[in-house]
Order: sequence, then structure tokens, then C-alpha cells
Amino acid sequence: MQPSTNPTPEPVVTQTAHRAQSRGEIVRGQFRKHRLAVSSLWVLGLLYVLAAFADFVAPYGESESFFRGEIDRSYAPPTRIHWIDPATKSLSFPFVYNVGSQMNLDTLEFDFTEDTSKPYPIKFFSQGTPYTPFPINLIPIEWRNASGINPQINLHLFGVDKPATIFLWGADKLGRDVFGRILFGARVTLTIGIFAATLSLVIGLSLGAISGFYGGWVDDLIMRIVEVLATIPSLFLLLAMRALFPLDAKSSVVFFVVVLILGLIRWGSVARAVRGQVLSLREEDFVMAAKGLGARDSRVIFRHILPGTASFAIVSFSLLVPGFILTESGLSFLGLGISDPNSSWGLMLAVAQEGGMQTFTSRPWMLLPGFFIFVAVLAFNFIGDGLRDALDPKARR
Amino acid sequence: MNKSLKLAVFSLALVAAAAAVSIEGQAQQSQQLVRSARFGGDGSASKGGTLTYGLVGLPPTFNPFTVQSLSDTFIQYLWFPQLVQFNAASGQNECYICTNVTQKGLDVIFNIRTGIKWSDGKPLTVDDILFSASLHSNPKINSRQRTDFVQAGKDIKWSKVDADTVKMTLNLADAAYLDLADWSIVPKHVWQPLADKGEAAVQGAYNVSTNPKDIVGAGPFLVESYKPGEEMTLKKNPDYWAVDEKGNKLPYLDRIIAKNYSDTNARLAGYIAGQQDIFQPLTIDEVQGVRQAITGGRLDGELKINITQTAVTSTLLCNFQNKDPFKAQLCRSVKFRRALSHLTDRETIIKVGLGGLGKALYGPISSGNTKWYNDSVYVEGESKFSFNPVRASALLRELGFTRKNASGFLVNSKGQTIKMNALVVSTEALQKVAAPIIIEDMKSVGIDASFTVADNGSVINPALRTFNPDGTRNFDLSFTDFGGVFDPPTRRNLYNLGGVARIWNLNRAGQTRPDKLESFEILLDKLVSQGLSTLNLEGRKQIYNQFQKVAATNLPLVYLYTRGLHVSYKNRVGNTQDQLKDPMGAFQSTANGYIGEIFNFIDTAYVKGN
Repeated sequence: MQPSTNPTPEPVVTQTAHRAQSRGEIVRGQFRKHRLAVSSLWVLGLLYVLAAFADFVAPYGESESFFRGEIDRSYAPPTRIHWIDPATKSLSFPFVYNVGSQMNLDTLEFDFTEDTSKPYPIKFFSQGTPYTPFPINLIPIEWRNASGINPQINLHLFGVDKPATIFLWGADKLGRDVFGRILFGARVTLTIGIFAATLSLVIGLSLGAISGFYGGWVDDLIMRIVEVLATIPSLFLLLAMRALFPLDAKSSVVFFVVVLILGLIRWGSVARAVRGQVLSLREEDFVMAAKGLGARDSRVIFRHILPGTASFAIVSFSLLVPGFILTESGLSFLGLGISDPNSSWGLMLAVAQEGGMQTFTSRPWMLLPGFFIFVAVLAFNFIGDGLRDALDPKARR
Repeated sequence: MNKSLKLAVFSLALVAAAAAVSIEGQAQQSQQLVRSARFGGDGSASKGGTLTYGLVGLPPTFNPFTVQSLSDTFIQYLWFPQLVQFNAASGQNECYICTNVTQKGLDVIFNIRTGIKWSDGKPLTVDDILFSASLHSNPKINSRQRTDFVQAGKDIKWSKVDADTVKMTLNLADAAYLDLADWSIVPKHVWQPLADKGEAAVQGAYNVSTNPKDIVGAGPFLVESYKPGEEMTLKKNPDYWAVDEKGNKLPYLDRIIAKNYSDTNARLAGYIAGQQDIFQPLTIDEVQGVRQAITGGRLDGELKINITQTAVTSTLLCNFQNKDPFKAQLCRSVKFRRALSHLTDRETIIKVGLGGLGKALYGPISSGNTKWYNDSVYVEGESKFSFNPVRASALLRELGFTRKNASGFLVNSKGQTIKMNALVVSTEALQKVAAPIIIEDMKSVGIDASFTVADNGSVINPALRTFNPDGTRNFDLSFTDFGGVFDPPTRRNLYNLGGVARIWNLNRAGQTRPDKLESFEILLDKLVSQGLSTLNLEGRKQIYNQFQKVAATNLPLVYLYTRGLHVSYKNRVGNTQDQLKDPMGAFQSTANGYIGEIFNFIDTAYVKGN
């Protein structure tokens, strides 16, 4: 031993570390080695933060539109941001120009041209449309009004003075900011998936475990219910359900309920898979031991058996979420989910689809929500992959 | 010897009979229908070719008694003849199977063209017409044209006068009586055995799996093949009985192909890719797509923009039978409806939603209906209430909404606010543009307005038509588009008290009129009835002028806008131009649905180079 040259003997440290590592640490360590999964986590984290602070990050409100009078921005392309001062030809603070539109008789579309007479510098932390900041805006407005806690602030990350406008990713038909609406839409699209997936998972795990643990007629009953649920065509069920709601119900409320119902009918596959695992787990020695010690059934199920299915649960959760995101997009696309003036990625894509070919040739920025759906679903799937590998002792790296 | 004599006599008799037939045949030649050169068919034009166009969904049946949509009915008119047909050039119904119509009191007498043959060689007779009428009018068969056989709740009587004459006996005078003779005629010898088996056999016949050879028709075209989900081919009927002015047999075209597309985007892409010869752009996106393909040199065709306004009138309506008596009372108040009209920025909606290709609408008749539309009845402030939020606020003040509450909504002395939700059909792109614009302006003056976008079949239509036990209905406002007609200028079921389309104040099943009527509704009902029972044109014009004025003054519906009509066709299609430039014909075509576009010049169109 030569402490002066080698103060911390490497092998010893790793060995003690190995001894001290809990299962959670191993899993985390393994997960970190899955680069795609880690970067997906960052991407999703960023999306969630942007969604939470959409009011602040977006320069305009969710339904703030510019389509008439002096500021007419119907299908305005992304605003050009200038860095070079035309007078001095040197780098300047970023600024935009006001734009004007005119019908082009060759294309029958409105062409936007910049009015270069006056630059409008981009203002950071500017004043704009007032809003209720996160997380207070999670409280229903009725409660906020009743309790008198309804702070309004009008601070935005960036903006420009009117009549100029800043649309980073262009504007839609009513002259609404696509960038902002994607952030607002993320609130619906990204949270609804988690809600519904949690619901499905909780029901699926509990009923699957009960079914597998008791067997017999309980098992038969639950599994037959699963089969019956599988036969219900969910689209028609949802169409019928929508007809039951009051007509002036808020689209967000209707949509929330609709997705909850989706969660309530989609637990079948989880329950089936869990039942299979429980069937083998209940024969394990530790379950026998718990039973022999006189533990109640509920304790055996929830303390001893279900934790054994944890890796399955985590992975299936991360894979259920993107499924529900796509469902949301599909429902909004069909006009069953979120509707104007609220936004969601599916709804925005539906609007793009209505434009047909013109969306591709004249206003491709309308397709951006599709890119975000793609990214979010892919990210959830990568995380699911990473978790599965990390939780699987045979796939250790 | 005896035998051979008999044979000789028999052959002689045969020859004589054949001669008699051929003489009869020549006599029939004079009864051919002459289609004039109104579409540019001067007889020297090229002939032949195949005309292809696109449909979203092929016709679901060949049966004229179960066909549901108007456009599918018009496709069937290519092989099933009618007594009268609409002539786009003259703007009225004219004889088709008939040669002459005379009216004596309530009797309308049709002389029938002789010499028309069904495609199986049998002659078309008066019996075929009466038989077809009996099937269309049979309530158990429930033909969509059954309403043509009922007047004032009683059946219209059809009877035979002689071998070449039929008579329609009306229950009361009807200026547009030829409308009532506008239905498919089927061959009795084919359909009688089916009718003998019962109504179900009639309804089950001639579905799309029927072998096209078994479909017996007598129009310009016959069904050649039907590939479900792909295309339907019609071929020229060699025995068609119409000629052009130079005696050339019609139709010029050899074939028509209706190609199926999964949606309107695919149909547009197909047209631009050269798969179709003619295309009717419905939205501004489609207009732009076609225009850019033509200017970009990708499509050798013509695009005619804004030929006229379409027959479809878009409206916003307020429920007179709202379950909330306060809202019902508001909807029944003409000041409130005028305020709604003042809050409708029609020009902006047309600019944003239609790219400027449309017209503001202030009354019940589309300006495209040049025969009846009268611009002079619309006077701002009296019978025209254009966008003016200040005026709207003043009207609401007159209704007692004098101050605003903490949320910025108008309240009356009882503290009531105006909370209204508007229904928007999820498939109507234009409604989805109009709704946020109008709702925003309603909010800006202090109305607590919102809108709901929902599916028509499962949500909106049931909401509009379902009554509570007390005779009320559960919606506030609805964006509703009404299909138009040409003559009479309003649908027969819209302003009549018993009409099924009058959603603002509807009669319940079993009732002939709504429970509570406003006086102007009774006046409108009287005017539309008079418009039909008056027979001279000048008198009718005055009645419909007054009708427009009463409707525009009282606004049972808040009239919004009409869309422009646009048509595009490839340059290789000939003999179309005159018709497509003709606003009246084009307007009628829209009233007829998509196929009407082609239908009105199909006899004399041709396609070069295929």
C-alpha cells in the first residue's frame, strides 16, 4: 500500500459501490447508458416545461387572432427576424418589419411583403395579453373567482410592438400564432395521455392481480369482462357519449371525460398480462411464506405480488402514454375532442388536413403539430425501451 | 304444295308487318327531341371521347325509388327519363319525354313523345309513366320524390287520357307545377313483376350488384360497368332519341367514367394529375390548387371563378323554442335578431374563409338566382342589417341591456345576461371560420357567447330536432346551411308553417304548425303559398319581392353569405363554355348538386384525343 501515489485504491471503491448499490441505483445507472432514452427524457421535460409556461413563452394568447382591419395575418408565413441593420450594415439587436398582404392573381393567395420603412425591435420580457400564471391556472376559474385569487399578469418572454407581429412558426387561417398554439396544445395532448394511462394501469394492475391470485370464478368473471370490453368499438361509444353531454359543455371538460372513459375501457390488455404474471408469482416461495405467516390476501397481493410486476407496469405505462396521445390526436382530428378556440396538436393537424394540398404547397408550417406528435410519441417509446432494458436483469450493460 | 303456299302467305304477312313497323318507325322519327346548339353544338363539332370526372363515393344504388341524395338522383337521370327536364339555357323545366304540356284549370295534360324505346327494345308507353308515378307515390316505398305527389295533404292524381296522353290533376294551383313531373320513369314490363312481389322487392331491386346489362333505361347513357369503390362507366345509348339541330344523333360522347376518390383532397390531386376532365372546386383551397396547377403549366385547363353564387344559403339561427323562456323570448325579438345580423362581419368571413370568392347575404334568396333575387328590396336599416356593432349595442340597449357586470357582460334590470352557445358542424370548414369571428364580435358588445363544434349526425342534428316534453328544444344558436332551389326560389319545406327544415321554430311530429308563431311567420307562409298559386310571372315576381322583404326585415334566419361557384375543365373538353359562362344555368347546376354541372351539357359535350 502506497497511500501517497494511490490515495483511493480504485478496485476497492467500485467494490464497495457495488455492495452499496440499491436496485433503484442499478436501474438508474442502466437507464443512463441508454442515450436515446436519456435524451428523450430531456426532450419531454422541455416540452412539459414549455407547456406549463406556455402563457409566458408564447407572445400571444391561445385564441388571440389577427384577421381583420389593419393587422390581417391570415396564413401569414413565419416572421423573418433581421439581425443586420440595413443602414449601417452591421449586426444589430434583432428586429422585425411590419407586413402587408395583397392578393396574387396568379395563385389567388395573399402574398405578404415586408414594409421596411420602420424596424420593430424584438422586446424581451414585454407586456402583452394578460393571463393567469401556472400553476394557479390549474384551479378551475369558478373556484378562483369565488376565492378571489385570480392574479393576472401580462409578462411575456418576447414580443413586438403592434402593428408588427411576431409569428415564429407562421399563423393559421384566423391569424393565430402557430408557435403559441403548439405550446398551448401540448398542455392537452401531453397531460391527457398520462391521465388516461395512469387510470388504465391502476385498474388493469388491480383487477389483473385479483384475477390471477384468486383464479376460479373471480378470474372467469374478470377475464370475461375484459373480453366484452374488447368487443366495444370505442369510436362509436365515444360518438354516443358525446351526444349525452350538454351542448355548451366546455370542449376541454368533455374531452377530459371522454379520455377518462377511454382509460376505463382500455385496461383489459394490462389486466391480461398482469394476470399471467401473477399466476406464476403466486406459486413462488415468498408468496407461500407470506401466506403461511398468515398475511391477509390484500397484503399478499399488494405488498408481495404486485411489486413483482413493477417492471412490466412501468414499461407498459410508458408505452400506453403515446397510445393515448395518438388517440387524442385522432379524436380531435375527428372533431370529437378539443375544439376551437382551444388548441391541441390533433386539432391543429385536422385543420392542416382540411387545407389539403394547399397545406403542403403554400403553408407547410401548419404541419408542425404533426412533427411534435411524432417527437413526443417517439420520446415516450424510447423511454419505455430504456426502462425495459434497465429493469431487465438479463439486459444489463 | 299446300304447305309451301301457307309458308308463302305467312312470309308475305311477315314482310307486310315489318313494313308496317318501319313506317311507324319513320313516323316516330319526327318525334325526336332536338337539343339546340345552345351549348355550342352546331353539329360540326368533334364528337366522341370519354369524359371522366371524380366523385367522393360512387352512387350507392341504381334504384330510383331508394336513391337518397340529389346528386345520385341526377346521375340516374342519365339513363332513366323524366317527363320534363330543367333547361339551363331557358331557366325552366321543359318537355323531355313529353312533347307538349297544356294546363286547363287544375288539369295538366302531357302529350307523350312517341317512338322512344327502352334499351331492351320495348317501347316507352303512357303505362310506364303511370306505373312509375304509382311507385313513387306509394308511401310504403317511400321514394325521396314522394313529396312531388302530395299537395295540401292529398295525393295528386295521375291518369291516362289516351295512348299518348297523361293527365296530372292538382289539388290546388301551383305555378311551379312542372317541378312535380320531374321524376324517374322506369319500364313497367321490368318492374311490374317486382311490384307484384311487394314493396320490399321494389326497394331491393337494382342495387349496385345488379348486372349492368339488366338495367333497362332510355336516357342518353346506359350503365356499362360498376366496380365498387373504383369507378362507374356509362356508355352511349345508341337508341337515344335526341338529335342536334343538324340531325346528328346525341350524345356526342362515347363514354362517361365516374371515378371514386376517398376524399375531396384525393379528388383534387387526381384532377391535377390529369385523371379527370372536369372538376368543381368547392373551397378556396381547391380553387387555389387548380389555379396554381394551371399557372404552373401542370394542367392544360380552364378555371372559371365566381361564375355566379351557389344556391346554398348559410345562416345563423336562434331557437324560438328554447327551454329557457328568457332566451326563447330574445330569439323571438326582432331587435335581437337584427343585433345578431349587425354583429356579423360578413366581409371578413368571406375574405378569410372564402378568399373573397363569395357574397354577403341579407335575405332568403341567393343573388345567384337571377330570376327572383331583387337587390332593391334590401335597404340598410330597414331590410338590411350589415356589420355595425354600435347599432347592435343600441338595439340591445333598447331590449333593456343597459349596463355591464364585473365580467363585462351586458345585464338587464333583472340581472340577466345573454348566455348563448352556437352549434357548428365539424365538417363545415366555412362555419368553423365564421363562428369564431361572429362569436368574438358578440362577446365584444357584451354577449356571453360561445360555440361548440360537433359531429352533425350524432350531436347537432339530434340536438336541433329533439323536443322536450313541453315542446322546447335544448340549443340556443345554430350555424345551418340550407340547400337552394331555383323555382320556387325557396325550398318548399323551409318557410311553410309545416316545413321540416324550419329549425328556428319547428312543428312537432303530428302537428301541422309550431305551437307559437310570430305574425311574420304566418305572412311568410302565406307569401310562399301565393308564390306557387299565382300563375303569371309578373304577379309572382311581386310576391317574391315582398317575400324577400318580409324575410330580410324580420330575419327568421340571420342570413350570412353565399359561396361563389367555380368550375374547371380541361381544354380538351369541347362544347362546355357557353353553358359554364351562363350564370343561370350554372346556378341551377349547383341547385342540382355536383353532377348537375356535367348533366346540363352532357348531350353535346365531347372530349378530344382519347
